[in-house]
Amino acid sequence: MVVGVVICDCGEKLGNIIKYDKVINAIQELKAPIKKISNLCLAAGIEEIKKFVESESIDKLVVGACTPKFIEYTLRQALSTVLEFEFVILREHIAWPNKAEPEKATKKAIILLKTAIAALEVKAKIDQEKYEVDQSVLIIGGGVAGIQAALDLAANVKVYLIEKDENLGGNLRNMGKVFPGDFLIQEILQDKIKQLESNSNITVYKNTKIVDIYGNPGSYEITLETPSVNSTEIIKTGAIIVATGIEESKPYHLDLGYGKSQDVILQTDLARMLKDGKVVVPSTGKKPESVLIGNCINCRDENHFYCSKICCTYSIHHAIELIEDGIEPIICYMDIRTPYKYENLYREAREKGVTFIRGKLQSVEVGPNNELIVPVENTLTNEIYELSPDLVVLSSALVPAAGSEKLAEMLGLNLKESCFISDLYSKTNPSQTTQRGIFLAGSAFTPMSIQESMSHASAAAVKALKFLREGILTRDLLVPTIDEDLCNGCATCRDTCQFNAITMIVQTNTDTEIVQKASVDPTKCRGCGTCSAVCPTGATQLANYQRGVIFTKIETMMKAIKAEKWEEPVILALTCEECGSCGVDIAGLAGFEYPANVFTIDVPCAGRIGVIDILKAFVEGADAVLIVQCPEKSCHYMFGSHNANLVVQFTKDILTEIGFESSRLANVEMVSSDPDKYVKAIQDLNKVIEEVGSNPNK
Amino acid sequence: MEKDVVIIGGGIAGTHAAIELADLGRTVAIIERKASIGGKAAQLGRFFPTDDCALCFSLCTSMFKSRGFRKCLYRSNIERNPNIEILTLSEVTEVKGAIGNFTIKIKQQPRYVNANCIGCLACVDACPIEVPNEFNFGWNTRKAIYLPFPMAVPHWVVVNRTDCRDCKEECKTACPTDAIDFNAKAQDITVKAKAIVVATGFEELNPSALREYGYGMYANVITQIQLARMLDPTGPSQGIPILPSNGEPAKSVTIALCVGSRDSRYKEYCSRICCTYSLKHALMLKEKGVEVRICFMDIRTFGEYEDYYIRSREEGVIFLRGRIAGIEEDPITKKLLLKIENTMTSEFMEVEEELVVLTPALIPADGSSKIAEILKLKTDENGFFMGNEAKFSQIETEIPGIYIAGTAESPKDIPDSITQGTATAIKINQAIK
Repeated sequence: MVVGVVICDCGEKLGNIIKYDKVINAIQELKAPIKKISNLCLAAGIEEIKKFVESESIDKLVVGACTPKFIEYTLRQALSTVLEFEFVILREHIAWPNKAEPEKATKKAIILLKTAIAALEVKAKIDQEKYEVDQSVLIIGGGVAGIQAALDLAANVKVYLIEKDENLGGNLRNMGKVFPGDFLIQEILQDKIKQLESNSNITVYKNTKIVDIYGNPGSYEITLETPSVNSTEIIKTGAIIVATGIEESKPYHLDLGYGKSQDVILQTDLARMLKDGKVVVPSTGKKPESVLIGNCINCRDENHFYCSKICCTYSIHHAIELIEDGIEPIICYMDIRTPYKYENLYREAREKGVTFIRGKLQSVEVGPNNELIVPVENTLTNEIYELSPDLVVLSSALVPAAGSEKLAEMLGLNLKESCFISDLYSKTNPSQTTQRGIFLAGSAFTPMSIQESMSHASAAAVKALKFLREGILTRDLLVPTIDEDLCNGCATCRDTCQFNAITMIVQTNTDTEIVQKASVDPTKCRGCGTCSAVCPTGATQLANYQRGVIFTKIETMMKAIKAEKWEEPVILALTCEECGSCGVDIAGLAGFEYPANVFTIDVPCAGRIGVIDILKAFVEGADAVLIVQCPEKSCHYMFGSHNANLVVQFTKDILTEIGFESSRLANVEMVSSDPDKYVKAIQDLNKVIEEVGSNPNK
Repeated sequence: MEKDVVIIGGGIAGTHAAIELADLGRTVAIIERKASIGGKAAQLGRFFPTDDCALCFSLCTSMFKSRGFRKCLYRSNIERNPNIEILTLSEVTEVKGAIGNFTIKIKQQPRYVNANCIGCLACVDACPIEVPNEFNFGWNTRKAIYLPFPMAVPHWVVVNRTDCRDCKEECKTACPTDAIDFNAKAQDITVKAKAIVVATGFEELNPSALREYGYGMYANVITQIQLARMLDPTGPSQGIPILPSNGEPAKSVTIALCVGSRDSRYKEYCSRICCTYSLKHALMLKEKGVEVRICFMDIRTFGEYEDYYIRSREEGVIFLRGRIAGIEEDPITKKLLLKIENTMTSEFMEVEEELVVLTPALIPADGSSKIAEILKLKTDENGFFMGNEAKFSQIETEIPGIYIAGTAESPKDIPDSITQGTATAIKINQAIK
């Protein structure tokens, strides 16, 4: 096993800071073949490395250059014979931030290169595994999103569309004219349903429920039940799109007369009447003279914190239809939220004489003759009116369709605070759920307009098609392995995993004992390593970030620091490879300078850092430990950053308990463009060390 | 050059369309008129709904089969994707043909730096010329040869030749890889493509026409994007909101919403996302100990963004319902006197303020009308591109083979822009063979 080292001085420009001859001497003492080049990222440089790897028959390669975020992909493509890499970021992490201290920068480079060499000696090659992906998609929900996703996918793959109702179309079936123009949605819907039903690649199941879902991304087995024809069927699909949609909540619990008087109705009821062309007061069957529309019912309050997004626009759209029909509408609102061109509707409504009162409906009283009495506070004038409309229409909160919570549980999906299904990361991946192979379309994610639902469904179709495309799911096995001898079956790892990648498999089940062992499903695992951090016995070990590897890095680093006669205090930074490590890169790229006495060890996610890793650093003599992690809200692995916070708190408690200064341990939550936070954290820790002195274990 | 798809605009929407198409096995060319892709996101720093970096991109799954699903722009390796070609400093001049067979003519301005650039920045250190940095609204300087921003992709420097005066080409001497070529000329490039995605994006309305706010006259009246630059830790003031008049940190800020939008004199529409990003900025300012007042008409934090409104109120942001009727500046102290009608109490108030941040209407990016003309695409009365109404679609246009994505269609947030960019991929994949 030969570990080689390539260092690049970036067009000889880093040579002014890092003394490369000293670095080469130090590495040669370790008998590792080393080569210095000046243009690693260019084609000529890659060729040079290739020759070097061949002539020295190098198996594993340490690369000391600029950040791997620029060069790793190219190197891995070009050097297929190299089993594993380790990167030392000479440019962004060492030379640029420590321009003024060439001597320290040189020592730091040597220390980190030695650490990388030692790490590669214990790191193994990562295998790839391939899994077959069934070329079909299950779409749950036959509303506009489900239909759109089915139509988009059917050109390429087989689609199964499941609808719990007897008809397709979902909420759209009750609508007449819809915004943004005066579109007759039924025409559009019927046209789409026709396309759907004539497409031989789409199988539609109506009146059908999902009883059970079993399997992995790429091959799910779904049990369907159609009670109307008394049939049960099992289908196999590779991916699933959840398009379960929304419904209007029924505000029985509010003092708004809903359920008490039949003349208090919901927007969906009004939509149905408008579609049929006949708006009537339900109790009398007569056309109303005045209609009071109450917006934000049951939402933007303690029941549902969120705004339902589309109700302002459709209530105004309805009000315009009413006033054109000679009915006087009044809208009681909190804020009117008519984005972009829907503002035109708002203006049109005011011009046509729709009355707007700023004030949320608090109560609707039902009088002795079933008449409605509605006290309204106008918050702009502080006046209280008492209105007596013929009909009250409530724009009630839009909530996930009934049954979606149960479905989410079946699929292992999380729910947001709003009870809608959670996505993996709403900013860049709005159609992807936390589970690989399961996607989201339309209002199952959050309330959306019809057009937005259609776009969202098309995006989900792209994600699903991409997932199916090659017929094979290829996974680098950067996943944990489980040592069954050590596993005590506590299931902490299973409960921590946000991707449901760990299951407990029962090995023996007798009257006296149940023995269960954890098992990892690589098709679901995303490789954050949080499971290894929480495992109490050390049975769960993330590939290439095993405890052994991290410990080797810490030990070698501290030894090298001693060998280099480093006099300053030592801060050991455990940085997550996502925003943490990138933030350190950006600090260098953006020209921040900071003390040289920080030495980084990368982990895939801060969730990988366990109590024992931090304690190990202190045992080996680090004066301070810094955990660099993504903010909890935007952790790339959902739970990792949160877990890191728990670990830091717990470790601090332990340190205090054993009489060791807990202030030596700090963590910083930052995103890539927060390099200032990293710099400040290092400065703060240096101050702490100044106060408490160096680590007695040193 | 032959590609399956040409994408006009390398912002968030266009780049995501490119990523998804490339993953579906299609070859694409991104035509970007700036020196780096990233679009407005590069300037904005932070985005809701996650309050993290603007330059976070989905990952090409065909390139990376292991960890992660989103990466910073600079580490996404988009420029190394074999299916994606990025043409920077390029503008579309002519388009002919129809679906399956478009011919797109492109004018590419010279960068004066070629692919040999290794990003060592030796040239930047050597360049003797400093000019105001337009990326940061002139609040700091850059050299005549410069990297557009730290995460720029492609990660090559660029020369603004008009800035080069009386120099001895020090950059060329300093360059270790001979990457600088001052003989480079503008190039005409012809691309044959089967489909086109228009993702030209948006910009802020220049509020100097709205004289009551004094933008352009008073130093301490700025816009949201300018505030975003100040709040960026790698920006001109290292993340500290400052008073442009004297460079001192601002202690209190008034944010004016609906500047030029929902206003019959300028833009009648609502710009949709400004309420939420104003509140995002308000929360960031509060975090830095700055007092914030927001003058609004309606707070439109639709959907789950309501959370921002709730948090802002909890954090003590002052909400004042009413438009600013006029601003006067004290010529000596540069303090601003705001005249506001509070429509909740019908009171007329005069408030002294240090810094005013205007939230201008969002309008189609400069040059959109030219693209509309070249492509013969329909725009609405505000100049945004229109979807196909007959198909009820936001992303397909009336011309087969031409698609729109992102804020070119109407102002929208990042998730919606990315959704549209992503969605175009399936429509194109279906439409072209």
